[in-house]
Amino acid sequence: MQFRIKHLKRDINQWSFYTMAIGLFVAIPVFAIVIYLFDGVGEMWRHIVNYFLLDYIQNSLFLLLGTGFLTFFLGISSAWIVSNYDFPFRRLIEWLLFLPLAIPSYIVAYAYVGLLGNGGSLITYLQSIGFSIQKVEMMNIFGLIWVLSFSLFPYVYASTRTVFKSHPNSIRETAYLLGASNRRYFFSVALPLASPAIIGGLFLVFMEVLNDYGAAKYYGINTFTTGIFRTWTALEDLQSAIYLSALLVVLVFLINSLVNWLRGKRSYAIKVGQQSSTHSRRKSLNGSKRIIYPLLLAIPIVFGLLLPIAQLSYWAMLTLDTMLNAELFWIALQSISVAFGAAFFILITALVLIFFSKWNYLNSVHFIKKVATIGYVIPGAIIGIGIIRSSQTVINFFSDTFHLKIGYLFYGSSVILIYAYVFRFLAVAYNPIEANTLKLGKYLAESSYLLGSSKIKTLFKIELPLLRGTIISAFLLVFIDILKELPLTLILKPYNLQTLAVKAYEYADDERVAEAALPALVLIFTITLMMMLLNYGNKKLTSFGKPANKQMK
Amino acid sequence: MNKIIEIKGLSKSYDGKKDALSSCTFSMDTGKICAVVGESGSGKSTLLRLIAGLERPDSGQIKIKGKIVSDDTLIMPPQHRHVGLVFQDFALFPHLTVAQNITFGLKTNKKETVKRLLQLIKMEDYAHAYPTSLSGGQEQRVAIVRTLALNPELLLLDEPFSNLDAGLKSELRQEIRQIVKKVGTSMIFITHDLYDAIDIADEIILLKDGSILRNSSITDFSKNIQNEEVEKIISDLKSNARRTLELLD
Repeated sequence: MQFRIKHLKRDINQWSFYTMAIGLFVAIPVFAIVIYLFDGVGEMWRHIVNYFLLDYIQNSLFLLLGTGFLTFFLGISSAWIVSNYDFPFRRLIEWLLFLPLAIPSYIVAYAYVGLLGNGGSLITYLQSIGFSIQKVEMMNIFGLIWVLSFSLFPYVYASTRTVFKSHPNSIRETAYLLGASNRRYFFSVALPLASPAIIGGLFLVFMEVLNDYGAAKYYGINTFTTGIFRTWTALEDLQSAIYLSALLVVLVFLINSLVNWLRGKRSYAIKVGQQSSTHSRRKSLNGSKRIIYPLLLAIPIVFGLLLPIAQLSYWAMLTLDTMLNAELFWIALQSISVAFGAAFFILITALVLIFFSKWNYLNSVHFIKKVATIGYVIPGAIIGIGIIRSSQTVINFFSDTFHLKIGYLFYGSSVILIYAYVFRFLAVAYNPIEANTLKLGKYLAESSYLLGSSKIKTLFKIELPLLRGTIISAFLLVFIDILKELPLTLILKPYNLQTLAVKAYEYADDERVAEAALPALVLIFTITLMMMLLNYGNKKLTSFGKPANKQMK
Repeated sequence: MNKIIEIKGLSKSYDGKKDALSSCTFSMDTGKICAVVGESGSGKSTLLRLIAGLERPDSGQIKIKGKIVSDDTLIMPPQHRHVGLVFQDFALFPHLTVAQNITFGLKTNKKETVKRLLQLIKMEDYAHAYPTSLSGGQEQRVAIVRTLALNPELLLLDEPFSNLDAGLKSELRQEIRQIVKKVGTSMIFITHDLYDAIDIADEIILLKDGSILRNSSITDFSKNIQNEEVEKIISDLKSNARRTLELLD
């Protein structure tokens, strides 16, 4: 024991304290939810349990199952075709399949009502060519599953495509030499090998489904997230909203545990050699595949990208005169400024946490940074409630103890919104940067220490320059996520701040869907631009790593 | 003679598992070259990293030039130990040129030092080259002079010859010995090849499962062996060395 205390005194340093302080500060919303649970249930809790809770649970689970199934099919089929076959415009199609991510799902939801509702654009067109169809009812749970699936399938597509592309030729050739058909190879070899990536992609889809507020609210589907909003705003019962949030957190952690268990059971290490290049083994389409495979690729592109964009463009043309004004530019500027500022803070927080915890020698401190980065799996509505409740405590404390009114500091500025973004999206920046820091290895930094440099000098002279590409990518990823974010922004934005996402939502909520189109299109255009930058950056930014298997001269 | 390094009861385990290093005790005179020989997993790299201050020991004491740099209550950071370490993969900074790598730790006389050290390793034309354009042998030479630029009191080399082909290995062994003797520093290097040790070291430490089995001068290494296990290991190492010699011939 005495020995341990001696070591604790020896090993604890300023970085241990900084890591703990920053980690705990970032994770306040989680602690707030847990602590305020002990305040007991709210006044409306019994009413919610009797009339709504079963609906929330059933709908949320049904949505998860439905979107899980559809995104699984859309993501895997498209990833398989683009990774294994060569056809005209393949590169363009590979890129287009990512783009549905640029359109927030609530905007796709509005577009579909405009397309398929009574007198919708697509319905009118179909009637003009002889179809006797009045409308397709979208505003139900099946419509919501359709919308969410076509908007979120790129998560499964992206992760699965990477794995399909990295499968070495030798594995495929061995399977064929052992007598496997194409079908057998796909189901018995390729799919099981890709299963950890598929599960990872599906997990992201599930988190987005549970986080969705705009689409579910517009289609009138009661989910946990819409329930939390309703309980807090319409029923004015924050305590019951906290209880609902806690239940949703339990559901999220159940899914998370299931995913970790499944991925742990199915993690396969594949030796990827130089022969893994897919260029040489992409086959041309022949026979019936020449028709079926392009059709399979066309489905997600048409329904997830082209139709929503066409509808939004049509509405935008109708409302151009009234909507294209200085206010729109001002909103776009605010949106970009907030996203830029928040992304910057998130990047700094991620870097600080990664390197401070690396410089700390106490293992127990690493737990804190894990808690600080769980925001990405907690729906925005819960984070919003956690922050509102904890900031109320701080405001009351200052008011009671010092007679200071500090509420405007919290609610009149963007500070609290940016703080919420930091917690929600920290993992988006943290995970890739940490992974690349580990990939960089410890020897470069250690060499620098042994050459007389401090940790800070090593960070600025060696580690950050080598992580430049990853840092820029992480920044753009966070920037995109913040631009699209809706529930958290709705709860926490100051009165005088307006973002493109919120503006589009407000118009649609006000039954002025056509007016929502232009802000939505500006938002989509900005996100697409960022995605193109991200793609360009990933290709262009220099990697200083040594070539593998370098010959010794 | 002054001791450059004195180690007493040094132990280290990772994540509470079996000791990577167990109660090691040895010392080395200033100006000597010592080879730490052992199989993979015998604790050689851990020993080097503990001396450099890159790992924290569970127990034991390390003194460099008579000054305690590590014990149960104190850990001197690597940058204050006046120790240089050349890693197995050389760890050259890939975004800096050869000259920038060499002068990384220097505050003054940068131009002169680069010129002098590149002359020493016969690489005068490579000052502005990036590490990715160098061969393995060139990278190693640069890594060594980068460390020597700071005049360390003790030079540590982690498996310096493991990635090299036989011809280059022989050439570099002698080159390193000459450089080290010329600049007058002390050196500890680790290897699993006895021939590397016999060729350039003054002393040998034989490690197995984290414990020192034998610590002697190169001339006494195979004399008066009382322990059967040590005898077997030395005989295996000798046999490997003979094969290396035959291959070289």
